[in-house]
Amino acid sequence: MAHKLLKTPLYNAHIKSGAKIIPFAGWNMPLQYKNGILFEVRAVRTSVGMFDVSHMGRIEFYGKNILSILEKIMSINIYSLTEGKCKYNLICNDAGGIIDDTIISRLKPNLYSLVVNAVNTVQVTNWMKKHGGDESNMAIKTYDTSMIAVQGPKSNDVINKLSKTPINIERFSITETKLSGIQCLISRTGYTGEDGFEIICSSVKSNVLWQSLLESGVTPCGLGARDVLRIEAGLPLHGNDISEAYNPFQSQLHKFVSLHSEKYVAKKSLKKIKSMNLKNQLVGIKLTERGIPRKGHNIFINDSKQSKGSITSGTFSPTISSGIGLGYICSKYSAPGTKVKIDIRGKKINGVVVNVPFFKKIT
Amino acid sequence: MKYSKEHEWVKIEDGKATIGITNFAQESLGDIVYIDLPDIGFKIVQFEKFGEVESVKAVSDLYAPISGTIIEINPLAETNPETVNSSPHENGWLLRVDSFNLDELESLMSESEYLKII
Repeated sequence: MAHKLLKTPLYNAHIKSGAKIIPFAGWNMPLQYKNGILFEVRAVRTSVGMFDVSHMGRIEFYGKNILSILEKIMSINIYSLTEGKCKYNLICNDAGGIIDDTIISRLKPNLYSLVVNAVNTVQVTNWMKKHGGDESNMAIKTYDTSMIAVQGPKSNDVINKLSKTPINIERFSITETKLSGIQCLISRTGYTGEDGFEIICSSVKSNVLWQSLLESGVTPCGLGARDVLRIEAGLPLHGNDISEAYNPFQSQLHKFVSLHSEKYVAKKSLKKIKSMNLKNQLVGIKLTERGIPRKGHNIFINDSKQSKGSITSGTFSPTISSGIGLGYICSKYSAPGTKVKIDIRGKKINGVVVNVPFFKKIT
Repeated sequence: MKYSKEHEWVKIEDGKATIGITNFAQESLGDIVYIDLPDIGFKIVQFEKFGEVESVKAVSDLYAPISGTIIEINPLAETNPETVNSSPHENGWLLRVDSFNLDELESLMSESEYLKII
């Protein structure tokens, strides 16, 4: 069934700023603004940029029995998440495949907020329902709220400029406060590898906030820059680098899997996977010649006839001026320093397996 | 200046044909980061692929608007590909050829014809 593309409350503001709009995950979203992707990436790495991420799914979980439900479906030890804190968390199926990667925040003892990938909202809520969730303990907030990510080394200065009281929250913390007089939920999180904040506010007020951020000199950035920034930071994108076809161990996300609870639905499978040798693993690959690896390009070792893996995300990194990618490779070739060749439209281009993030932060 | 439906332009001056991509092409591509061109002496053939232009988001093939032998390559196109974004019709030209056949221009479009298709 074809659905009409949705528009975020900030759509008109994007048009006014010269955005090029593309369909993404069922929404009309800005790909880039008039100065281009490279300009936007530079703004986030050296100063501050902002992204309309209102398309992302926002779900609230609440009620007395909520912890016992979350315990069944969350990969982290949900009991270790204290009030005012956020954690990166995976939702895995019974076999250990990744249904989605999320950020879960504990707002109050029995109130949690979950941010999921736009296209996975339905899968996540269905999974929740399968394990005891219903209308009495969850609500989708995506359409009543907007979400803006303010990212970059100067994001803390900007946020504090818009607040009457000083905002001093640690990384992976969340608080309620007012920015430009608007009630916001603000967390020190992001998807760029930089310091930054993600702000949720009522959708009717979001244009005021976006405008005051613009007036504070924050560069509006689109999905193009977001993709470059997250690949440079080595952060996977669900649907590309991770999916139900992959488990957290091969995706190098095992540190977000606690296996603490007997009630955890993926515990048995993940425990088994943990004890086995991994067939392939997600790695960072940096090209040492000109070229850009793209999704689907095959990875070769020396003159091997058979490919040893393939690229799941790739781009040009303006920060290190080379082609970079994430991809799965046979475990025996996954060590950093391993020389690889990427088949880019029939040409074998040299590259090397590297640790992520791809860039060194100057702090 | 004449235009191809693949969004390349060609300009004949002093017995040489200069080739580049149109403003529409560079706008659609976005920030250009690599341009892959053949070497001097290579013979390009009208409407056949002769190289690639790659932006942050996408890669696109380059098609020759006219046949000829490459006599000059714009060094800026390879070292500063952003020049093709900022000046696609002037400083951001890609290559120059000679030994071309003017009859081939008949199968290209004028500016006004080109503007109608974009």
